[in-house]
This record gives sequence, structure tokens and C-alpha cells, in this order.
Amino acid sequence: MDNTCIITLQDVNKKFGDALIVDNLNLFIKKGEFVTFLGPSGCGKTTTLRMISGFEMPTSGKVFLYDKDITKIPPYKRPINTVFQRYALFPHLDVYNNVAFGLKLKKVPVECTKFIYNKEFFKKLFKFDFKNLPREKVTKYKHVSADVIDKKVARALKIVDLEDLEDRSIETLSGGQQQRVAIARAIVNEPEILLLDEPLGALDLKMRKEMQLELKEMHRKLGITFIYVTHDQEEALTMSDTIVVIKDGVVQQVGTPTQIYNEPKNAFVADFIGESNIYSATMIDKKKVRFLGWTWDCVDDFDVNENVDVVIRPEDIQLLGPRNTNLLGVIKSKIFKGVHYEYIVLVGKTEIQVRDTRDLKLDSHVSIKIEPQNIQIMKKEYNINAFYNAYINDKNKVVISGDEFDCDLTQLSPGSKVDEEGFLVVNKLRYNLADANVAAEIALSDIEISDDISLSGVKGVVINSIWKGDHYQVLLRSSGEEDYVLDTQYNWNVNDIVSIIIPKEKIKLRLKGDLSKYEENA
Amino acid sequence: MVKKIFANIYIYLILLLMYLPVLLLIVFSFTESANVGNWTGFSWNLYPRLFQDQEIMSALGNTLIIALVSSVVSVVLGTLGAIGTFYLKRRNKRIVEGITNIPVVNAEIVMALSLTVMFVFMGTYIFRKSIFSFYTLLIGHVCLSLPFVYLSVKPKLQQMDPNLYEAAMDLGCTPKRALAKVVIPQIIPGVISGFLLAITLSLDDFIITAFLRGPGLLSGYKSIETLSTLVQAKIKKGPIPPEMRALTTLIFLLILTGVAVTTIYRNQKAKKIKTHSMKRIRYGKF
Repeated sequence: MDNTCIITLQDVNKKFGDALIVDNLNLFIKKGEFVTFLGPSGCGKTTTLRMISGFEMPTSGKVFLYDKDITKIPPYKRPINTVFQRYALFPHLDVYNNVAFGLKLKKVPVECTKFIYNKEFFKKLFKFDFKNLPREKVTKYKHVSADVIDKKVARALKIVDLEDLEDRSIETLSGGQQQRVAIARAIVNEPEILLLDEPLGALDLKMRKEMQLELKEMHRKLGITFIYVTHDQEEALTMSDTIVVIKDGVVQQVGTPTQIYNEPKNAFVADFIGESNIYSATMIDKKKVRFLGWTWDCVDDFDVNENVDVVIRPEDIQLLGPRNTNLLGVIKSKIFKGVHYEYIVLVGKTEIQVRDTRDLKLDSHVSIKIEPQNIQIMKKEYNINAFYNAYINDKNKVVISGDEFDCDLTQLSPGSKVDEEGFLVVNKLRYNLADANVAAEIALSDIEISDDISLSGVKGVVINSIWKGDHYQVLLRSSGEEDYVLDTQYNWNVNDIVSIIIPKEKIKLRLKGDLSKYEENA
Repeated sequence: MVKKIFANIYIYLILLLMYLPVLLLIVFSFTESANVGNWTGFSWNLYPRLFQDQEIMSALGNTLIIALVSSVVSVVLGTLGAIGTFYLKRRNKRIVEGITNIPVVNAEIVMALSLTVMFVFMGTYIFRKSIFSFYTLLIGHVCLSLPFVYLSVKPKLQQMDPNLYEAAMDLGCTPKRALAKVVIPQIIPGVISGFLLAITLSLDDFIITAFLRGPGLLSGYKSIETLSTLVQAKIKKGPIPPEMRALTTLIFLLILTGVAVTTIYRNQKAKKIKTHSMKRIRYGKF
């Protein structure tokens, strides 16, 4: 792998109507890398891919291949091939012709000699001096010969393990085989970059795992750049050299899988990649951070009194006997996962996810120990309130650290509605979302506070109020020890007790995991 | 059991009622009597007589020429139109689709009359002479069959994987080539059924033909006579010429063979796919 940038995206913006899909994207992709665009659905990762393949043109900004500006070059002139989400094989052609499709269109430069039809030519022609007729060398563009196409198709089919299926029609193939044909059809053209748009989405789990390893192996053998799009974090961690985490059209973090997993840059990345405990915390001293009502040693250096987010992976928390002088908690639930148990430990009102191989008793008291290097501290982002440990309760309200808020569940799936019994109904299927884990986001301007504490069930204390030029930014701490940040026109005094009001349509919810697992069996 | 027998009887009864008139016609095409129902002994004579009858032959020729030309024109226009609207923006698409649906449900007489009025208007004020000719007839038939072609191509486009067009471009096709090499082969069954539909619509059309015909084609200086207008003209004067029975028999047999051939072809294709997938299961290879 050398360090040349094969694709550079420079200040790329993409708008569909008024909606900003990709927001000022700057990205460098190195030659030979396996790069994955990872993000929740609708985050702009496929749009970015389509701008690289040429099916979409950026509203502003430029796309470079090496140092050539290819922003306005149509897809059929780019040395880039795509494996489409649903394969997009040509059903009227057999396997061979599908794979050979690109080669048959291709024209390659061929050196050949041509007569020059000048006076000398005719003079020599009439003297029957055929050997010395004036000629010149020219390059002509000719179709690839049938032999070469045959050889290349055979090789591509060998790479994807489909040697004997050349004359089969597409409709007789299984999903996995169609997938392989789609890959063969793309790599046979020897592109510099192969784009893969969620290519494994339609396969079952076992097949998917197999293909992941095979794709990785193919990447190693072919040595070309792979750009892969997925919303599956596990897939991204398994296959990639580099992961680009995207959210709402903005790149959150670029890094190797280990970097992304161990040192997430912000709470979103930590939450999206793997299981994690994320808490609001305050730096109370040099390399000392306070959260869960306890002071912890840590290795990251932040300003004293700065509000931060901390992330701790479930496998990095140790559960010890209750006599230790550590933070105490109670084991509230326990699920056997094969290699380990997954515990939920309650500390005060806050839940902690823990992974442990030992079989501990439910309801037993434990103390919690976290090594300083396992506490990953991230700068708190004050551009949005994001709560990653929220869940939906049986009253269809969203619970954020013990505080209940009304919310609009229909945003979890387009075209859905909530019936009288409180089930979410999508296409006649009913989903019971009680206890479903969600991530909730609220914009700073969407939270209102009032000193009339009867207006809402949720109360908080003003911790901080900062003048931001044309408004105040107020930091609240609720009774459930959660911090809320909001923009307001009024100045609030520190230690004021206020009620927190959030209109239900302003709470943006994202379900963790797939909706299908909440399906209600009627 | 009894229920099954009754069900079978019912089906065959209905089929019999549907095909009885045709069967009667076929049987009576082998006798020379002037009226159906009067059997004057078996004879092949109607068939040679049919091919000697100048009037019928030129009407048949006219009908076929109009059917073929108008079908080809409406298939080309209808297919391109369907592809064009398929890639239109949603709002414009809805407008175009609404417009194309109207002629399908519209009474044919309305279309015939409105076209006549338009051509009369154009003839009187623009060309200063009657413009009724083969071309006005052609325009009428194209108007008649165009929406049907559009409607039979549209579902094929909707069934098509929308990524196919992009996949073709990805592999090096220019937009035009992608259309020719990928999109058209995908929708060709719809195009063919649209073509056949257009032919049948044009073959037996009477109203539009009667309103819009003018001199031309095989009828020379006289008004174009098609099979339907010829029959109508003959009925006015007396009984249907017996040769018509032979002609309808031939047309029926032609269509029957056509249907039989396509059915057999389709069944064999389906069988081929089935055996392939059976093999796959048997060898447990994949």
C-alpha cells in the first residue's frame, strides 16, 4: 500500500431539493485500501458512493481521481465499477454474457499500420511495388478479441468460485451465486476502484460471514482499492483497513477499526460501534473524572471543570465482591451469551452494561472497577443533546436517565402509526416497543424551560449559563443526573429549579437494532 | 365428486357457447350455399373463390397494411413514451399517465368524431381541399392503439430492477447503448404484446376507419375499403358474401396457431428453468 490518494473529495456538498444529504465532505482515500463508509441508514453514505461512481453530481465541491478532476465525467468513462445492492444482473443474459458485458463494450488501443494515400502511393501501386507502399503507424481503438474475453471471464469466474456455471441463466442461481456473478462482472473490467453498496445485505447471516472473509481475501489478491458501504458495524470492523463513520452527511471519524473501537472521537461513534456505556461527566481535577456519582482516575488530560462524555466498553468493567472500597451496584439482569454473560448493573438510577465470563447471582451486590486506561474521555459536543442510553417504556414514552418524555414513535418507521393499544403498526405488522433501546437526540433550540415547576414532570437545576453573543446557552442537570443543554433568550440563575419541556415531535429517536425483533406475535 | 362434474360441465358449456358461432362458421365455410344454415353439400370451392374475389382481396390488403403500419408507429411512439415518462419527475409523470389513461376508457366514437372535425377544419381552412386519405386513417389508428401499447410496456418497466440501467452505464455503456442493450431487452415482452394488441385493435376497427378513410392504398381513387367497412357495405345490400366465411376461418386458424406456438414456447422455457434448479438441488452443489 503506498500513500497516493486515489480518490479525493474536496468540500463536497449534495442537496436533494432543500435537504442537505452530504455536508461539506473532505475525504482522502489511499490507493489499495479497503475503505468502509459506515453509518445509519439515510446518513449520506450511499450518496457519497454514487458521487464517486458518477451517478450523482455534487451540488458543490470536487471529486478527484489521483489529481484529475472527475466531478463532471459520466460513469461510463470512469475506471470504477460497482457491485450494486441487489446485484442488478441482466436477467436476459446468461452468466458468461453478464460477466463479459463490460469487456465487450471496451475498446483498447491497438498499434497498426495504415497506407498513406498520396501521390507516391499510387505511383508505387502502378509499378506493382507493393512492398514499399507508404505506410504510417497509428493507434486504433478496437474491441477486445473473443479469446481475450473468454480468458478474462474464465479467470474472473474462477476468482469468485463459479467456474462451471458460464451458460446458466441468472434466474436459476441462488442469492449467493448471483452475488458472486455481480462481483465477477465488476472485477473482470480490472477497475482501479471497486465500489460495493451494501452487497451482502440480501444474504443470510452464515452466507454473509463467509462472503465477508472472501471479499477481504479478494481485496488482498486483486490489490485494488475497495470502497464498501454498510450500516453493519461488525461487517465494517471485520473487513476494513479504514472506516469512515458518517452521520447526517458529516464525517464523524476516520480511522482504523481498532482506533474507531478503542478511541471513539465522540459519543455517536462510541455508541454506533459496538456496545458501550456512555455517561456525561465532569473533570474535577487533573486526570480525575467524575461520573456515576464517583471519582475515577483516568489517563486523558482535559481542563479542570470541563464537562465531557465518557465511554466504557462492557468488557472493560470488572465486577468485584461488595467488600471492596469501590462504587457499589446491584445486578439487575443477566443474559447468557455463550462465551460470556451480559449483566446490567444498577448504580443509583443509572444502568451499566457489563460483560463477564463468570456466573454471578441476580440481585447480588457488586463493586465496580474500571482501569484508568479503559475510560475513554471525549469532548462533549454542545451542538445537540444526544442520549444513547434511552429506552421506550410501556406508556410509549421515552425515558432518559429516569426522566419520562412524550415522544412520537411513528418516526421510527416511515408510514407507521400507533394503534389504540399502543402498538406501532407498519404494513399491518404490530410492534411492541416497550423496553426497546433507543438513542434520542434533541436540538439545543427545542428544549424549553420554565420556572413554573408544575408545567412538566421533569425538573432540573441550572448548572451554568453562558452568553453566546445573541443568546444564552444553559446547562441543566435533571433529577436523573442527566445534563441538558439548551439555547434560550433569557438569562437563568445558577441553582434555579426549572421544569423541562420538550415538544414530542422534537425528540428524534433512533432504534438500536432492527425493528423486526420487536414484532408482536398476534 | 358430483360437484366436480357439475363444475366441469359448466366450464365446457360456457366454452361451447363462446366458440359455437366460430365453429358454425368454420363448418359452413365448406359449403357453397349463400346462407349459413343451408347445407348444400361439402365443397372446397369457397377457398379458391375467396382468393379470386378482387374486392375482398384488396380490402384484406388494405386492412393488413393499415394494421401493420399503424402498429409499428404506435409501438415505436408508445415504447419511447413509456420509457420517457418512467424516468420523468413524479409530478409530471402523474400528469402524463392521467392523459394516456383517458383514451382507453373514452368511447371510440368520441375520438373518431373529434378527429373528423379536426381534419375537416384543417381541410377547409388550411389545405383548401379534403385531406382525408391513408394518412388521416393512419393517425386515427395510431391514436386508438397508442395508449394500449403504453399500458402494456409500463408494467414491464416497473418490474425491471431500476439499477439495471445504472449497472449498464457503470460497465461502460453510454445512456443510449444502455437503453438498447439492457432496458429494451427487459421490456420486449411488453412491447410485443403491445404490438399484437395494436394489430388486433386495428384489424377489426370499424368506427374510426369509417370516419377517417379517404382515397388511397389498394382502393386507388375510391375510398379505402377495409374488411370491416366492406362487410358493412355488403350487409346493406344483401347477404354477406359466402367467401367471407372462408376468410374468417383462415384468420381464426392463423390466430389459433399463433397462440398455440407461444404457449408451447413459454412452457418449454419454464420447464428449462425448473430442470436447472432441480439439478442444483439434486447434486447439492450449492
